[in-house]
Amino acid sequence: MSSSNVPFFDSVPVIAQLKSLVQVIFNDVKGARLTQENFSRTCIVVSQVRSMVELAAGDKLAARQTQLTFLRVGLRNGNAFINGVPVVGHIKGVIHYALDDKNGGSEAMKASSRTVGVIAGAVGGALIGGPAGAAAGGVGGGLAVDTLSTAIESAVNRRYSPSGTLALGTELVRNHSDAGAVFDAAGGFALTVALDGVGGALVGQGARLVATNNVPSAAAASMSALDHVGIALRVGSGVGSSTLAHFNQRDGRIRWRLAELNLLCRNGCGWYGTLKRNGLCGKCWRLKKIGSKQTHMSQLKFEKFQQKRRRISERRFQTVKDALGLESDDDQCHLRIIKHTHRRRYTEKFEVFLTDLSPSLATEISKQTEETIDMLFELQHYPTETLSEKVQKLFLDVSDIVKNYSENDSECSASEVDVVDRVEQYVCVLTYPILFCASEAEEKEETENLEWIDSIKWVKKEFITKQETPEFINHIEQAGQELMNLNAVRSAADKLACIVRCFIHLTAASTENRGSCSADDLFPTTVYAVLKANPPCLQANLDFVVKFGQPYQVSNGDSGYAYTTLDAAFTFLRNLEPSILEISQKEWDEQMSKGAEVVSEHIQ
Amino acid sequence: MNSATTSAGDVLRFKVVLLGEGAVGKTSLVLRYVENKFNPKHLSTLQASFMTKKLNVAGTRVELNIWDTAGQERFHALGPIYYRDSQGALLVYDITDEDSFFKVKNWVKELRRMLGETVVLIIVGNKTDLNKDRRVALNTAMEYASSVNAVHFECSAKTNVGIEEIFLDLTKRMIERAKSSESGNKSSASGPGRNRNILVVDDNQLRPETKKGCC
Repeated sequence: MSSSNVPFFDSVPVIAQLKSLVQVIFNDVKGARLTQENFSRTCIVVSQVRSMVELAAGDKLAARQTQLTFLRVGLRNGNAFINGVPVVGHIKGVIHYALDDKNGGSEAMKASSRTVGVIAGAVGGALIGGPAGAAAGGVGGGLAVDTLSTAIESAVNRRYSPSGTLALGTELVRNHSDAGAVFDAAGGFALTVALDGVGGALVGQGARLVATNNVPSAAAASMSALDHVGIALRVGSGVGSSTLAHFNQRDGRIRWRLAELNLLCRNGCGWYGTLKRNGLCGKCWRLKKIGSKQTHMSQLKFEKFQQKRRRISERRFQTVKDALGLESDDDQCHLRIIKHTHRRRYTEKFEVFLTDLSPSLATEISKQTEETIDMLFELQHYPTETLSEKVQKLFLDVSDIVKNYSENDSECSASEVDVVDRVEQYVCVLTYPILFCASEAEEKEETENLEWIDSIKWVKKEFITKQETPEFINHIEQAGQELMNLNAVRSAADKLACIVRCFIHLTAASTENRGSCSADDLFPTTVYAVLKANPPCLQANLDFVVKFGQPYQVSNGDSGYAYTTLDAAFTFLRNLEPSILEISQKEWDEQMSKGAEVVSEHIQ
Repeated sequence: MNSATTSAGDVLRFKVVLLGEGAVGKTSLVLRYVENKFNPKHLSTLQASFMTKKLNVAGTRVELNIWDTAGQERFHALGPIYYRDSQGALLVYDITDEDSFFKVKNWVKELRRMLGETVVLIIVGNKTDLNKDRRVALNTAMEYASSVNAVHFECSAKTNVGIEEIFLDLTKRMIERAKSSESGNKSSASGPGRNRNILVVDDNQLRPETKKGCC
């Protein structure tokens, strides 16, 4: 058996077995056996065990053969793998540089940075989607960095030179001559993605811990989470480094040795350092960083992360908005990013609409709209009433502009309602993060509302006007779903459309077995549906619609009636007290404590 | 569907709110008025709780938006949310139920306090078909109405007696108020020398079978 030709994936458990299985399926029995043989000789753990067993059995030659095979394969194929480990990769990069091996150096650096991408992606993923999100974030982060490196590489080399996952994917596409080779490429692809996922999940777990932790030492917690991953990586790399050095003496091709000292923190604290932190460990690096005020992007991000964490721990509750993934951050930089990403997407849509209008009209409207949006971002810390005035003024101005144009130009076919609709949609979507429930007071109110409605859920029975037939329940549930959807759409007009759809279901629910529906039936049904669904941010949505929607739509027609009834139902529930239900305070208190039990049972 | 004001283009748009105790027949009243005139498919999506009705009164195009409210006592406090910005209010009571008449008196007080004289108040005694069980005398109600500068009508939604007149009178009064408040600001929408006679024309003027009532 030629030990130098052992593919890397023959050393990895499970994958090697899968490979041999594939080979068997493709009638490559010999290849399958070879893979298995390779596996037992080259897998990190298995090979060591095998050589130990062989040694114990007095078969020194065989033991040596196994060790050698492992080391060779490990070194040849392992480069890519070890490069991916942040600490080792970065150190290895330095060594490459030191030996004037620029190619190898940048390769190792790039791979390590890739891992950082994985971690960054994972932290983001974890905050949004939990462990699964973290894994996905890790994969996404890795892929993003790969794509970036590919783009850079391709630009530098003036040809397509894929990187990381993409490279393996490309190889997968190009090599399809024999089953083994395809498997090696596919395995590489899968393993890279899988490792990104696992790494991501680990980091994500840390990040989540940090996000929900109330201990003031935020940095320590987050660093320990990252270090946690570091330990796992170092354990593997430590073993690798000593054996690598051992192998070098025999091979003579690579003339460097990794000593334990190289890996330690420069500060001498006994922990391991990383190149990214100037050879310092996480703790020492941070201490140093606080001293010197550098303006580095990653540092800004980290501080923002800390800031957010601090705020959460101060408030001591997870807000509804957090749960919905809405950002309430007043961080300028962050908002600019939101503004710009949204702008690109919606500007296009808005511009397409404007091209249908006459050019001078389009320019005028576009100018007014953009000015107002810029003003809103500047005034974002002012009360929402001020922002509301600006938006309402814009609606009136745009309406006037269109009116003047239609009067002076008979060919102008633009309807002012249509234009104002588009402007409203554009402004609402673009400035949503600063307009919707932006203050902490509002968020707090939302949480209190949710808790209050939960606590009075027991009054539901008071508002059932019909028998609870399956159709009735179905309509109520669909109405509740529409109320939930309020948080999924961003423009006031879309929110109103949700409310109208909700009321169509409520009307249908209260008309069960009857031809028509009066407010005497509709209103209690509305109250019942709101109680049952208890949609988050209902007050914020109602406020948003009235402040940033078009007044006509909010106070007229179906949408106006539906809005008013929902507003009234919610106001009614918020002000509910024993006298309204014509029960005594004692009875109310009893029910409240009983209701609380029901709720807590439900949660358990 | 134009801007936010009640008058947009040539169409005067009025918000009319229906107030009164539960089960006095508020909804039946409006249903009778709207359904008799319109194809049911013209009913709004929210059916009887919110209805619109288009009229042409002496050349003035009018759109009535009729807002139904829940009559149960426990929802009384929500009144202001419904009646704000309304130009007319129909205060409905049941002539066989004295309590419902007292309730109307409460509403009148509240509306006058909150909206002043800008709102047209029409007090409607429903269920004249149950005259034998009458508890509220016609004279008492009429005297009360004139004392608070309101108009009084009696009708029966069940037998369709007197319904048209109520809405016609309400619309006429609301147009007058809208024009008097607007005169000076704008030239009258219907132009000079407008006909003082009231003519109600169904919006679907091409359909002769719908032409009835006060044509």
